[in-house]
Amino acid sequence: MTAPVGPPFLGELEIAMMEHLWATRSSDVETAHRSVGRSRGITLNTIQSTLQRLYRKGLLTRRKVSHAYVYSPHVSREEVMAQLVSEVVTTFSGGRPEPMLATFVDLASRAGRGTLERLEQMIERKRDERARGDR
Amino acid sequence: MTYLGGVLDLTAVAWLGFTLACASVSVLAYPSMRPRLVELRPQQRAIAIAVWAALPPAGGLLLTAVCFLPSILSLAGVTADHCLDHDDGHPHMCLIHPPETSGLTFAGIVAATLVFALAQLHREVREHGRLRRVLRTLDRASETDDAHNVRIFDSPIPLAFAAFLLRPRVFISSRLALSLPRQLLDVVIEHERAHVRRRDRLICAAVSVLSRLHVPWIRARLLQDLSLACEQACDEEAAVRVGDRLRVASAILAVERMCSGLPALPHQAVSSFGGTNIVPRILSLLHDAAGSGSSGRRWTWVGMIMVALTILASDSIHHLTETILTPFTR
Repeated sequence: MTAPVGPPFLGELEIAMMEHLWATRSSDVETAHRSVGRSRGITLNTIQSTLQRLYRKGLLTRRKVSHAYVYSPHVSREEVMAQLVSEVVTTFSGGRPEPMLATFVDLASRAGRGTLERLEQMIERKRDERARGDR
Repeated sequence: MTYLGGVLDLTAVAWLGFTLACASVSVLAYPSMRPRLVELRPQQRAIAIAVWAALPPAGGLLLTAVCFLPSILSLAGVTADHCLDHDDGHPHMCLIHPPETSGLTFAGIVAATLVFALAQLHREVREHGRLRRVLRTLDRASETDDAHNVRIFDSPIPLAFAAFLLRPRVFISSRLALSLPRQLLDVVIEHERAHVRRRDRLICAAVSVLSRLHVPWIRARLLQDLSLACEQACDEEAAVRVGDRLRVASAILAVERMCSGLPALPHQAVSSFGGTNIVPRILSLLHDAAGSGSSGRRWTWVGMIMVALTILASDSIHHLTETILTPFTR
């Protein structure tokens, strides 16, 4: 099973399952059900199909032990987060205003070092003026 | 062949014509109006740009309604039947004596508008669908900071943003949360919360759709100007909340410095002084207050006077439109 190329789109249960597997490193369906399913009132079948779905998405590997599959993460939490954040950053850096989200500073263009220095000096000058005015 | 078909046909043709005329006026007027818009407070500027973005379809509707005003006044018994004053050589934009037509022109224009609108909607949904799914996954994989009601996600990139249209949320990366001094992080959070309170994402999405009837380069400029106005409005709100404009300026600079240490992103450009939106934002914060309220009131008066003049000139607009439409309805 190869790792996914783009960022994975995961539901709430899928995220919970991945968090469980990242913490335990490997798990069979019953253990995952005890850890993630019972508190949510979810059946063993739902846990099984969720694990299969994650396996098909390339996020898990599995090996057969006796009659049951044991699942392990194929990608780390850091890799998944990096792919998601990379997608968001790429959207911003396109330079086109995106209605759905806005970053604190413009990622489409970086201010040069000279610009940053000039702005820093202007802020300091204003701060000094204000301090002199307060005295 | 019905009277209703005649009214609908003329309405559709007139709306289309007026919409195109408003979009053309916008091409000529917006570049010269921009410097005056900058004088407005950011909150007022954002409203003014949103109104301007809606100008072609809304202006088209207003002018079409104005064309029918003489006959509406006649129907209401306020004035005499104006149609008796002129001959039958042109179509009557009148609810009392409309031309008898099949309504096929109306149907054609409605169908073309629907196809255009659906194509645009499909494009928007396709463009935003993937990003929405990414953001929802990121949201699920993030932790809530209960103290500030923000979502914290693991990332070495210093990011802060407000996302989602209907239920907006603030996202802060772990790098930013851990590296930025507390008093500057408070500014970032207040700025992003201001986006949530102001419903900026929803407004920007609505403007993005409404502005589709502008020519592309004017639309792009409108969206960029709206984006800057929203950022500055949130800077102003954050400054009021933390009680220090210079602290907001310092926070913008600090985050920009953190971002400048990152490897270059695709399509990213290094801008000269004034080429990036942090420059107008910081320069605005260095003044005691951004823009003036009196300019906003002046613009409101100008808008109201223009609408009033349009209504007062309804008879002339009505006759002029009938004359222009004559070749198209023969």
